[in-house]
Amino acid sequence: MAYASALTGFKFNNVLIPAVGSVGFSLQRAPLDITSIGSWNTYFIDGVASAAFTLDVYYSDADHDDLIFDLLNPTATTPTRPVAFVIYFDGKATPVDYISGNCIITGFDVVSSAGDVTRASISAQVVGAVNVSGDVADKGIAEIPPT
Amino acid sequence: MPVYSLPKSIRTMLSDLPDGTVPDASITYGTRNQYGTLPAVTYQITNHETLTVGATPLRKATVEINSITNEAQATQELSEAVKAVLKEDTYDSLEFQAVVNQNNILQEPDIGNGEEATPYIATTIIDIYYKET
Repeated sequence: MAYASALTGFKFNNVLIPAVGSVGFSLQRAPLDITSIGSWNTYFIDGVASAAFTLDVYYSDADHDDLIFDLLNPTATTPTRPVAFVIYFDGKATPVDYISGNCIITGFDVVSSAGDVTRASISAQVVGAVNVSGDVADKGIAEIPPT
Repeated sequence: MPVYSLPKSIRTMLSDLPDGTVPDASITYGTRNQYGTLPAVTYQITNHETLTVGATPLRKATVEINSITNEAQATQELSEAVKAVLKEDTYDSLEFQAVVNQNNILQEPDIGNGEEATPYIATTIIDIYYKET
């Protein structure tokens, strides 16, 4: 079934972030090439997964300071880094469709133009495993678990 | 559950015009009250969209406001008074977070069928970014 996007949300450090226009999430597991010299075909094995996401927001410091703080203060110990995030795709009290994990903020682009409101794009790198609606990505030794 | 009405909230904002500027009954949606007197102000929502996700999303409405009097200068002055009240605030439970003035033009009056000049109209176009409180 389809979810009305008006019911979705984005949480950072368990706080609902307002004024989020759109969320883009990308999860990739680039394959590792193990083709031998002289082989007539290419062969791959599963590689290491990596995920990142971007937020397009109607920027105000009051709404998005938690995200910007993470970018400006990489040595801060509060909140615990990498910071837990959840992207909700349904509006249910107990969400059944979501993506969660831990992330660090890696980019902040803000644009202000005449006749418009201030907009910003905030990008983040997922650290460790990702949890997609209960399916946790495979973890190696001593990896940080998703929350 | 509270009922939110953007046209009502815009009207409340326009009602902040100084006393004596425009009779309250002459601030109308869409068309001018033909039984009313000039000066008058009409407004119309020409576009409405949802911008953000969440239970109380940020929305954007484009509103066209017409300031109408019998004279060019008076119309320009009325439109300046209208511009002055287009401000960020909470009107009838709707929080206008940003009011962006896009345009303010004094239009040439049309010629009526009896070759009389119709009233002067100054058109102000604004974008309102708002959310329910």
